[in-house]
Amino acid sequence: MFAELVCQSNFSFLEGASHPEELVSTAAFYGYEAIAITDECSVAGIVRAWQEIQSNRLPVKLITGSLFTFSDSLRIVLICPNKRAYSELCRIITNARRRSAKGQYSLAEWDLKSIRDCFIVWLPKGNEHDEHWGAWLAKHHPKRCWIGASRLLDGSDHETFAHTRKLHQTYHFPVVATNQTLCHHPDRQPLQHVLHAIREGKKISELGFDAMKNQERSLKPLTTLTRLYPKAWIDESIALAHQCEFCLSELKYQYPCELVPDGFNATTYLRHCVEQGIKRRFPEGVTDSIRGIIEKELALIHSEGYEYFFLTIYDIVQFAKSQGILYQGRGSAANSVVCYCLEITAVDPRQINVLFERFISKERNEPPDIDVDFEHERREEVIQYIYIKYGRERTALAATVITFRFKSAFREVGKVLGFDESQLGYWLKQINLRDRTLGWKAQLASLGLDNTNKNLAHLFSITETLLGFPRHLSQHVGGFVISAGPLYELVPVENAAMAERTVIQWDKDDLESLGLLKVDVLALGMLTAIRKIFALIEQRYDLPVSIPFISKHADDKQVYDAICNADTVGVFQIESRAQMSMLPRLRPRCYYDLVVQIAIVRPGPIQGDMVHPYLLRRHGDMPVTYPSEEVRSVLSRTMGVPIFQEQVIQLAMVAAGFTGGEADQLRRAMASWKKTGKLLQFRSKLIDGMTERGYKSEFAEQLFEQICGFGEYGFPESHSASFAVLAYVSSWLKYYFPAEFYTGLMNSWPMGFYSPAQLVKDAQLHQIRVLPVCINHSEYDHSLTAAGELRLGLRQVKGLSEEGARGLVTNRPPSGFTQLSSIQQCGLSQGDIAALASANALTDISAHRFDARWKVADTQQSLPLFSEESSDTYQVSAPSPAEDMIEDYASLALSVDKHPIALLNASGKLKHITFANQLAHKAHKTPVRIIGNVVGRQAPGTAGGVTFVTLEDHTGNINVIVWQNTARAQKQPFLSATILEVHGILERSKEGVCHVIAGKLINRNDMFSSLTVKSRDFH
Amino acid sequence: MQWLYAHFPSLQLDHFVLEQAEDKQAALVVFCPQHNEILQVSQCASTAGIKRGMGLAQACALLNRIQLIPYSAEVECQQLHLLANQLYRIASDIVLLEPQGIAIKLDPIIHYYHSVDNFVALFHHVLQSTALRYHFASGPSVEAAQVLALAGADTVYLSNAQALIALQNVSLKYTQFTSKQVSQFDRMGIRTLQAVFQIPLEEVGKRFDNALISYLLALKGNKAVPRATFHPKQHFRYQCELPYELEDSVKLLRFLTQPVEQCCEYLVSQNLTTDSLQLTLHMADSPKQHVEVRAGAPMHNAKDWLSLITLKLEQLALTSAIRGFQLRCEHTVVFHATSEHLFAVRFNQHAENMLMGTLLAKLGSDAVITPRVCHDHRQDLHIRHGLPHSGAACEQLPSGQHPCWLLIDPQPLSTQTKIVYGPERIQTGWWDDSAVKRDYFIALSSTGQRLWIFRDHQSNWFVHGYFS
Repeated sequence: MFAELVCQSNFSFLEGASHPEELVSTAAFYGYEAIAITDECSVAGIVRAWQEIQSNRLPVKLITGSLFTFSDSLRIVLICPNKRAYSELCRIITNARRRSAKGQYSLAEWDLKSIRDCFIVWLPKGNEHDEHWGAWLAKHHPKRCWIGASRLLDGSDHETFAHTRKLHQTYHFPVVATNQTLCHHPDRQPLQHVLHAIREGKKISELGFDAMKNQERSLKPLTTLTRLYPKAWIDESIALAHQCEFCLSELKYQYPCELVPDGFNATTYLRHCVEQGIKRRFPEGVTDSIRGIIEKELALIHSEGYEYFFLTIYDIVQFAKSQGILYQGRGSAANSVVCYCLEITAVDPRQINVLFERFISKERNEPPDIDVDFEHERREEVIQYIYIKYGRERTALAATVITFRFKSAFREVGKVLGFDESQLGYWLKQINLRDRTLGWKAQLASLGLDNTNKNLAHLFSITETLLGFPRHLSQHVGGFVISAGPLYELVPVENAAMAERTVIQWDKDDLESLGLLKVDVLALGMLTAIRKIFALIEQRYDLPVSIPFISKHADDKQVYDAICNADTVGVFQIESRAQMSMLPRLRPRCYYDLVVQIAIVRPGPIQGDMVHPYLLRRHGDMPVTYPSEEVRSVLSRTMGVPIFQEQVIQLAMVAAGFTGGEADQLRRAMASWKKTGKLLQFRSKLIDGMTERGYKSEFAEQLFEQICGFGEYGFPESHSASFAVLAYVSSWLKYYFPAEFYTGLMNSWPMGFYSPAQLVKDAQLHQIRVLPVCINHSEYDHSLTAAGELRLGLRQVKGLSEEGARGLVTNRPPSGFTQLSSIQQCGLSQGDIAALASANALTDISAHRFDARWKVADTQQSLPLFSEESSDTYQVSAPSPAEDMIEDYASLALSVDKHPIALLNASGKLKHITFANQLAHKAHKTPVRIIGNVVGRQAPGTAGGVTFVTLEDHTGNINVIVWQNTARAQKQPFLSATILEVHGILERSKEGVCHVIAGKLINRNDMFSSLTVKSRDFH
Repeated sequence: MQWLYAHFPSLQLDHFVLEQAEDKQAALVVFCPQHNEILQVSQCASTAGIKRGMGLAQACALLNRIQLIPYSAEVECQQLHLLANQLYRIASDIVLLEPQGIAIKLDPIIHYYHSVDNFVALFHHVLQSTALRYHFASGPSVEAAQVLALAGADTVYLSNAQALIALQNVSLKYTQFTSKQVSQFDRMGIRTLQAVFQIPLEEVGKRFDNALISYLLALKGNKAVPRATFHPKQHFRYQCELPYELEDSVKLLRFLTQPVEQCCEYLVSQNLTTDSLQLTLHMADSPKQHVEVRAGAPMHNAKDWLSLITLKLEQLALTSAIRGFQLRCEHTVVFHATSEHLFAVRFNQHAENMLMGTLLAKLGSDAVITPRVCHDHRQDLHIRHGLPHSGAACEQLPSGQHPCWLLIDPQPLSTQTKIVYGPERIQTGWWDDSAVKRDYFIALSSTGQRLWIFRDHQSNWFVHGYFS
C-alpha cells in the first residue's frame, strides 16, 4: 500500500497535467491507500476529486492539502488531518492570495509560524538553505513535520537520498516517499511540457534543462514504488494518511442568523413571512389545494434545513423592493409557491403546473436553485447591500473556472510547438465549429495539410487532451456565497480581477456537490426597461402600473393577437427572428403557450426535431400519442413532445432506467458538455436502456440529439415560466403604451436584440412620430412630448460625453441656446460640440450640419477675445439628402426621416423592386426582386448551413433564406454587401409568414458606398 | 520645378511573386496581423472579391485557399532601395518616400535627355523590367505628384498647371492629411482638394495646424519641403523570408541567384568590388547561422560568386531548417583594373580566413569543428558541432555526473562492466525526430575505466562516454 501525499492536479494551472478525477481514479486503480490533492496555494480541484470518489465509490482516501513555495528556498505541503486544520489551511491560502494580485500568492513567514493543526511535508531543496529551514521547522513545528523524499531518476537520486537521511538524523523528522506527482499517467508528459511552455511563454524546444526530463512525476504501480523507495518511507506515508480524518462532507454551511428577529426561530419566521405574503399574493384567500402545497413546501424546507436560504433571498428582494429596483426570481424557484408568497418570483402557481419536487427533491439531494434577476443598471446597488450587510469577510462571489476551449487550446499548443501565429490564425478561421458533419480535424485535413507531419499530429492530439483543462479562475456573474462566520474558514478566498471583488476557489458545481448554497444576483436589461416604461406611464397618465397589475389582466386577447402577428420587436425573449417566425405558427393564446413558445425555439427542441411534431399535434393534424404510460406522465403537458430540459432528464429516468444519481450526472454533463464533452459517455446507456424497455431506437436517438442540443442552451420549464411573465408584460406594454415602450427600451439600451435604428423604424411603423436630436429640446434620455412624440435624447449622439450632455441640459437657458458661444460656455469640449453639430442638433443656431461643424472647428471662436460670432469669409455648401442621411447614421446610428432605400427609390434607381409592405399582396411562389440594408445575418448551428438574412427597406423588414449552395456560389455579394438586392421566390406559409428564398444576390454598395449601417452578424 | 513620382502599391507582394512564389497565379495576400487588415492582393485573390482593408475572416470566407504573407515594412524599404539603385543609373535627384514611393526631380534631367518624354520612356523601361506594379504622375512638387500617383493618374503632365487642374478632383483620402483631418473635412462636406483649395488659408488656419497649411502650399508648388536625396549606400544588403522552410542548404541557391546578381550589379554601378559576402541564415529552431564566403581576390562577377557560394552551401551543416536569409556585402574596395596582385592578396590580412575557407571547402565542415553546449536534456545534443569562431556562448551544463569524453555516436557495450551509479532516466524530445528513452549509468570496466553507459528502450546497452 502507499499514500501519495504530494500531488498537483491541473488546478495548479499550467503545471499539473491531469484532472483531479483522473488522479483519484488512477490512485484507486493502483490500490493506493490514499491520495492527497495538493495544488499550489489552492484547494480548487479538491471537490472534483471528492465528487469522483463519491460517485464511483472509489476505495481510496482523499486527503486535502496544498503546496506552497516560500522565498524560493522552501517548498512545503500542508496536509489537513482534521476540520480545524482545513480551516487553518483555508485561512493561510486566503491570506497568501489576498496579499497578491489575481492568480498570484505571497506567503509570509508569519503564516508558517501560525500553523497549529496542519501537518507539514517538507520538500528539501538539496541546497544550503535546507539547514536553515530544517532548524526553523524543528524549532516551530517539531511534532508535525515530515520530510518528503522523491526518487525522480534525475541523476542525483543518490545525493538526494543521502541528503534526506542526513536531515532525518539531524532533525528527527520522519520521511515519507512521494513522487511529487503532476500526471496520472506517464503519457501526459508531452502535455505537461506544453503547459510548462505556455506558462513560460516559450517554445517547447526552448525549455531546455527546465523541462521535465522524464516521466517519473506520475502515479506509479505499487510494485514500482517498492523498488524505488525504502519500505519504511512508504509505510510512513500510510501512517501519515491514517492520521488524516478530514473529509469534505464534514463541511457544514452556517447561514447568517441575524436575519431572524428576536422571538422567532428560522422556521417560525419563515412561516411568518409566508403568511404575510399570502395576504398580499392571495387577498381573496388561498384555496385548499394551494394551502396544501404551501404546507408541503414548508415541511420539506424544514426537513432539509433550507429556511435560512429562503430568508436570505427574501431579505435581498425586500431590499430591492424598498429601493424600487425591479427584480424577478427565476430558475427552479418558479416551481415554488413559497417563493411566490415571499415575492421572490412572480409566477402565479395557478397559471402553471407547480411541482415543488422540481425545485427541491430529497431524492436528488441537491440544493434549491433560486436565481434573481435585477435591473441591469441597478444591480450594483444590490451587491453593495449584500457586502455592507454581511461584511466582506462573510461574502464572496463563486468562481467560474475558465477552461481551454478549442480555439485557445489550438492556438496555444500551436504556438509552443513552433507554428507561426498567422498560420494558426488562418487555420482557425477555416474551422467552422458548428459544422456537425465534419469535425475540426477533417476540416483542417481538407485544407491539404500533410497528415504525415509529426508536428501536426502532436498539435492535434495535445489540443484534444487540453480541451476542458482549467486555465484560471474567474468570477461568477453574480453567485454570492454568504456565511455565518468568516468565509475563509470554509473555503479559500482570493482577489478577483475586478477591484473590490473577492472570489472563492470553488465554482457552482463544486458548491452544489458539497451542498453549499449560493445566491444568484443577476442582471437583466429588460427589467431596467420595464421600470423606465412604468415610470413614463405614471408620469404621463398618473397610472401606477406594475408587473402584478399586468399579470392580473392575464390572457388579454388583443395582446395575444399582436403576439400571434409577430409584432414583437423589442419584446422580451420572443423578439428574435426565429421566435417571430414561429409565433404565427404556434399562435400562443395563453400564458402557458408563451412558456412553451420561449422554450421551443431553442437548439434543444430544434436539434431533436421536436418542433414540427408539436405544431402538428397542437393544431390537431397529428394524434397525441405516448409510447408508454411512464412517458405520458412526463410529457402530457406538452402534448407528448419533450420541450423542457427537465422533461428529457425525467425521460432518461422513466424510459432508460437512469437512477437519480445518474440523472443528476446527466444534467451536469448537459450543462457543461461543450466544455468537457462528458455527455457522450451517456449515449449508449440512454439508447440501450430505452431500446431494452421497448422504445424505438429512433425515439432514443432523437432524445439523445435533443439532450446534446439542450447543452448549455437548454431551458427548464421554470426558467421559461419566469421569462414568459416578462415576455407577456413587455407585449402588454407594447400594445397599450407603445410610445412609452419604445422610449423606455431605448433608454435602457444596450440590451435586447434590436439596435435603436430598428426600434425607431418599428416605432414609426406603429405611427409614433420620432423627433430628431435638438440642443434646445432634447433631454439626456429619450423623452416623450406632450403630444406623445418620441424626442431622441442626447445619449444617442455618438462621441458626446455623458458629462457634456448632462451639462448642456442643466445649463440650457429657458429660451434655449441662440448662439454657439453660449454652448461653448457650458463647459462642453470641442469634440462634444462637434459631435452635436454632426448629429444635426445645432439646427437652431446654424444653417445646416456642415455649417455647424465648420463653425465649431474655428478654434479662435472659443477664445474669450473672439467670443462674439465672427464673420466667415467662406461658406460651406449644404448637404444633399443622401449626405444628410449618411451623417445621420454616422453620428446617431439611425435616421429619423431618411432611409437609403427610400432615397434610391426617389432617385429612380430602383426598377421592378417589391418593397417589404408589398410582399403581403404577392402570391405564394411569385418571383420577386427585393432590396434593403443587411441588418442581420444569422447562421444557427441547427439550420444545416442555411443563413437567415434580414433586409430592411423603408417600409419594413424582409426575411431572406439563403441556402448554403447559393451563399457559396455568390460569396462576394453574400459576404460583402451592406445594401443587397435579391432576386428570389416569395414563399408564404399558410399562417402568412413570408420569406424570400434567395436566388441571385447583387451587391448594391456602390449605390451608397459610404453608408455606415452596421450589420449584426453571427458567424 | 517638376517632379515625377512612382508609387508601388503592392511592392512586397509583387516581389514575393517574382522571387519566391511557386505558383505565380496563387491567391496571395499581404496581411497585417496587428491590425487584422489585408494590405496587398494578388490578381487571383482580387478576382475572388478580396479587397484591401478587409479582415482575415472575411477574406478567408471569400476564398479559403489564400496564401498569407505577413506584412514587412523592412522588406518593402529594402526593395525600394534596390529600385532606387537601379534608377540612380538614369537619374540623380531621387527622393525616397518609404516604404512605397520614389520621386525624381525632372528639371535637371531634361538637360541630359533633351525632353521629359525621353526620360520618362527610359524610366518606364527600367521599372517595367522589374515587373513590379506601379502608378505614376508628375506634378509641381513631390507632394502633388505623390497625390496624383496614389490616385492612379498614370500621366506625365505637359505642364504644372495641367497637373494642378488634375489635382482638383482628387479625393482627400489620397493626400497625406492625417486620417483625423480627412474625417474632419468629411464631416464638413469637404471631400476633394478643389473644395479645400477654395477655402481661404486664413480660415484653414483657424481650424487646422500649420503643418496642414505648409502641406497645402507644397501641394500647389508654392513652397518646397526640404527633403534628403537618395545616395546609394556603400554596402549591399538583401533580406529574404523564404516561402517555405528549406532543409537542404543547396536548395537555397535558387533564392540566392537573383540577390547575388543584384549585388554584383550594384558593385558594378558603384565601381566597387569585394572579396567577401556574408550570409546570415535564419533558422526555424535554432539561432541564426552566419556564413562568410570569401574569394581569393576581390571580384564582382555574379557567376564566380555563385560558384563559390555553391561550394560553400554544399559543405554547410544546417542546425535546423532555413526560414530566411540576409545577404550582405559590407567590405568593398574601389575597383581598379590593375589591381590584380594575386599573391599579395592571397597573403594579406585575409590570408587566415582564406586558408580556413579552403580547409572547410576541401575537408568538409565535419573535419573542422569546435564544440559548443546545447541547452537540452538529451546527451547527444549536449555537445553540438559548430564551425570555428561561430561565437556560440559557452553555457553551463546541467548538474549531474557527466563525462569529459563524449562519443559522437554511442557504441554498443561489449565489455563486462559493473554499475556503480545510476540510473539517470532521460525520456524526452517527443517533439522532434530525436526522441530518446534511455537510462544512463556510470559503470566500472574490468580495467578500472569509468564508463558512461546507457540502456535504451529495447534494453540494448551502449557506451556514450568516458570519465577521465
